[in-house]
Amino acid sequence: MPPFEPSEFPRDDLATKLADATVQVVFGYKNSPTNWDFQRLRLHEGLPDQFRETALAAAENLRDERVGRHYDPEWDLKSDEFLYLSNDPPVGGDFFTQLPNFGTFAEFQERRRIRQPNVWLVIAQLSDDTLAYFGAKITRSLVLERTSRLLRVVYRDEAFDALDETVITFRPSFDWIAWQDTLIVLNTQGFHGTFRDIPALVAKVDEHLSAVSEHVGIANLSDFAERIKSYPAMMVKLQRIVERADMHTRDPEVLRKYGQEYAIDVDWNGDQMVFDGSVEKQWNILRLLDEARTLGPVTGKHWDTSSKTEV
Amino acid sequence: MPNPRFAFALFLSSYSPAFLIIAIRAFQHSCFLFWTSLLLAILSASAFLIFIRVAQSGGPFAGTVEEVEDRDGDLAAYVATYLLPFVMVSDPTAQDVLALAVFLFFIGVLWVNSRMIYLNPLLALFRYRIFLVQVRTQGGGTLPRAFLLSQQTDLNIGDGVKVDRLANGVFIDLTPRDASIRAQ
Repeated sequence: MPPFEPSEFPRDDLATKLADATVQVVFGYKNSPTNWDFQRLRLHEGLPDQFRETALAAAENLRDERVGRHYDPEWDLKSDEFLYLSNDPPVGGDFFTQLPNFGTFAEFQERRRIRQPNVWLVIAQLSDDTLAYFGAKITRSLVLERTSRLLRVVYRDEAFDALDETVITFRPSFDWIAWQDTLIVLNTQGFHGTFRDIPALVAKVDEHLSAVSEHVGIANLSDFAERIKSYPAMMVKLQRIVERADMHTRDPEVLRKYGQEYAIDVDWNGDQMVFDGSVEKQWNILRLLDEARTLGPVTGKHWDTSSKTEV
Repeated sequence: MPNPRFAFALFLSSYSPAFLIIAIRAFQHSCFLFWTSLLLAILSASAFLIFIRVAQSGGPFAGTVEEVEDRDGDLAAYVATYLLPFVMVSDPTAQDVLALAVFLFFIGVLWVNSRMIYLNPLLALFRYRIFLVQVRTQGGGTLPRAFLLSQQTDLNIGDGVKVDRLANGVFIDLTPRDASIRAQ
């Protein structure tokens, strides 16, 4: 079982054990959000040491310069924070279940044209017989294709030269670290870009809206649903409303008063919230349904909570 | 696995001692056979040196031996074909040379397609032995049984190894010879 509190994550241990770890580098190819292929890169000469140093730097940064907080998909992560969530069951479909078999992965072959990987990761074999993973998304801007229309030449050996092979560059930072059934998120954009299952979220939008509509109506519901399906962040928010919040189960009159009290601008038509097509009002409807304020036991007032994650 | 051309060069390197023997036997008998054999021996041995240099500089992963079987006998059986130079007449005709070339070609195709990269007498010069092993990666799963080229004088169940893959079903042990790491 992973430690429950972010502060309990053994960051010291990870950094210490990484110092003499054996590392491999692997490319991940996303067939679908739950189905992945992998290729192992052959590393020569000093490359394993360099990749270990890169992973070690990330672990030391995590240990010395970041404070943890429970995972919140909407949290605007700062450079001195990390998000923490359990990886049991693992995210990403068969992503993490395949990784322990990295020794059987096909080797990455240099070709003139290659399939663009979606993620690269360092797999560290630690002395305690565990594997630590350091991963980052590979964006299109990190791939210099031989047939690129934008980049035709490179500066090589003090001269301009044509790019004769596709080149993949690595950022020296990671989006996430996985160890001991725990996921540490260092870059939410890269993390969500890699693991967010958009088709699954889209498939659940109508179901979630039906659950909301059982208690409070929304005018122009079909337009509202279509708009949500085009914004991953809105789909995640809607999912959390249904799975974790309870505002949508309250009486419409309670919601209306709550919106007025806390200046959440939502239009009402009787007992129905009105979606007028604007993004702002759409967010306000979701915000109102996702409110989670704590009731001060002494003052009797509601207060902003710093996190909407249950503890 | 090296690309097919390089793999064929590696196959030829497995016969480089035989080419050398042929060159010695052809000396002062057949100038063509002498130089051809000598050239093949040098070039193919060079390919092998490049290969072993690259293989030894690989980034291995750590594992533990779960099953091990000594397969040095495979190499001895392969070397039996080295009798070939001795059955050749010392002053061969074009037909003899062509027949030898065809023979080597078909053995080579078999060698490359069967990924018999581990069958190379030159490996013995670098003190490599052949084992059939099952390795469990540290922290990970168990790999399918594979041939392992190792410089260890002995390899036992439970020994720690640092292996890298050379081809499907063939690994190389990059643990320093008889290093203390094996005593895990």
